[in-house]
Amino acid sequence: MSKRTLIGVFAAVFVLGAASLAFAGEDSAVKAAGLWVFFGIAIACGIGIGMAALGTGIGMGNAINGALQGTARNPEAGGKIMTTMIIGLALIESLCIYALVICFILVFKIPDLGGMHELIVKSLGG
Amino acid sequence: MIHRDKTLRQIRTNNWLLVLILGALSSTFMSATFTTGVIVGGLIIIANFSLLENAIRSVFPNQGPMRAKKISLIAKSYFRLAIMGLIIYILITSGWVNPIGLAVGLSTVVFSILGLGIRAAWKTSSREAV
Repeated sequence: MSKRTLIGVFAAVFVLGAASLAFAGEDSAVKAAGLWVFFGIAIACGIGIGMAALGTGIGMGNAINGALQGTARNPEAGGKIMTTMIIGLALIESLCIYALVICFILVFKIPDLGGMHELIVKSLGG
Repeated sequence: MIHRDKTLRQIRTNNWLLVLILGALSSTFMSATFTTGVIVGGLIIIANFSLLENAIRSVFPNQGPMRAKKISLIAKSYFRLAIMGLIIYILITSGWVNPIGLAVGLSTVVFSILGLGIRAAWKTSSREAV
């Protein structure tokens, strides 16, 4: 996706969001704002966990690639290489686990409906 | 071989020690849900590390033929991650644990490995200084 298309998509999302707030009544505006918050959280979680999985996959692939090449060239060093690889894999995998935990927190813990509703009403001057 | 066993044994010992220390500290200074999060997170990540090690050792042994098929490593990895994700999901949604405490507990292995690395670097630098 080119940079121009990306900017266009973000602008369209922003304009649609602003329009839904501007043209709706107070209750509808509150609901729309709440929906946009949930929309943002869902998009953030989807993109976040996807990027984390991508990075983890690339990192683990590189680590295993290097370890297997090293072992094939020097089989006597296989033990040390495998140990280092296991340690590296544990470190890389933990990054994806953190991303998963953060996504769960975003989805299940942050959207406190009552508090969010009050905040939105206050921000709209209700 | 000796080097390998020593390093991994050190990491395993450090993991348990860290879980104990972090659990004791959080039980003293933090809430009960935070302490539960630290301990459960630590246990999950220690089990995960052991399973990862066993799976890799069974497919890529240092000597001799493979003890397991490569496809079993892939299946085991996906199963392990799915089970871990499910457990974390249940823990967070049920509210039994504090998510920050859980994240701290899940960092046990990372802290342990970082500690080992820092100690090794310290030893190397002090040896070079002498």
